[in-house]
Amino acid sequence: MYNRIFYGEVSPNIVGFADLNTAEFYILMVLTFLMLLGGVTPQIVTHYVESEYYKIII
Amino acid sequence: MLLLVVLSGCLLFVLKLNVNFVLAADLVSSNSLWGLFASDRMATFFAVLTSLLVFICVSLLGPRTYNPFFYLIIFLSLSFFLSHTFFSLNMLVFYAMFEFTLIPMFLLILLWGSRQRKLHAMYMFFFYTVVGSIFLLGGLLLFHFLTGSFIITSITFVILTANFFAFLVWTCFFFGFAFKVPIVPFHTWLPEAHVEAPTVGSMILAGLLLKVGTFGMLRFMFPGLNYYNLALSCGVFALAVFSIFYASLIAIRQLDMKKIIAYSSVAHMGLVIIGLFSLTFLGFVGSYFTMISHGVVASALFFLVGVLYERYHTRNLSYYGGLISLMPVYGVIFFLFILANIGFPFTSNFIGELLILVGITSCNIFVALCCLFSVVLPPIYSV
Repeated sequence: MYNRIFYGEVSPNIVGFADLNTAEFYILMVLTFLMLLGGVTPQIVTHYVESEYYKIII
Repeated sequence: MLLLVVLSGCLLFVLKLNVNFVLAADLVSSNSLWGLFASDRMATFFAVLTSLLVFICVSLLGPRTYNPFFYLIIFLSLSFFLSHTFFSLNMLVFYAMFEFTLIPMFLLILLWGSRQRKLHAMYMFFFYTVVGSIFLLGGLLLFHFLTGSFIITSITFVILTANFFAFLVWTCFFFGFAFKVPIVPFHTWLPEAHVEAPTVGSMILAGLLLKVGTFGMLRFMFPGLNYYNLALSCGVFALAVFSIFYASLIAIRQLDMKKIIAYSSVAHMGLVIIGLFSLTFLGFVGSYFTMISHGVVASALFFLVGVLYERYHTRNLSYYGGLISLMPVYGVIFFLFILANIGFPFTSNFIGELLILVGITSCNIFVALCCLFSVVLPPIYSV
């Protein structure tokens, strides 16, 4: 197991796998963009919902 | 696809008319029972997330998909019911719309599920959700008994103080939503449902249906039940911390990739509960941010596992050593989302977890320390 993971020896079961196709790639790019956008500029969400705090506290 | 876009457009147009009409009706009679929908800032991002995930699921429709027309109908109905759940201003409508989402999910697992064990998974999913619904319905009836209204906004003006019935309402609401979030020990349906559901089913389940539980808590339990939210917060924190540690430790022992992500979702939802019940500003914002962020990250991870499953028909971790040399693009993207799942800086989960930790530190330092230690666990089961 260690050899397969860290030295790149490939399990015979997965030889011949195709990488992502175009549709899968673009879907993942959209999700990656959203994930990184949330990490870099969280104020898009936080500034928008911070006024809702009055609804949960009195 | 064109037909779908046209149908969605018509649906949104009808929905918008409905919103205007119902808001006007609400002004006339605030006690009306049905048809109360409106959008506020809290619901907006959930609606956007619903649209995004349903669009992704529909775009995965391929020539080999079993019964494509029924597949489209299921996702349109899911989109309709989930949007109405988030936009509802009436507790009964919220309850009804959430229950209706179970029907398409049930059919999705039944028709597109992968293995024979799906019947068992469906049984557990249905049983747990029905038990949670009984609690929720009981809470709604008691709430109506106390306040004379089902309107969600009325909970902002009615503060239920120390009263046995108010305690019962809190208990019913909390346990009703605890089955849906889910919190340990009410979580056993979730890994089963995830493993047996198709990829799109897991994406919707992790990205949206879990959030309905925490969103329901936000809508139903704050601020009207804040007396008990504060009084019983220690019990809730204990349950949530146990949930985080239990789910993370179980995830370490799993070999099925979907189960790892499912248990990781349980742990993240525990953190969201802690943020909400801290009743601090940063805790609230962090919880909300984590809900949205987890919706994106968990859906992407389930999608990535689905990509592998479609090619090799196994999710066993031990088969996928050395994958990066054969699928380099896939490997890099998977690694990015793993980093997001463990809360690495510059990813969206990091912001949410950080805000929750800061919020809970000002509320209960012991729980904050427990949460801090729990942050060590995701890298262990994810990497």
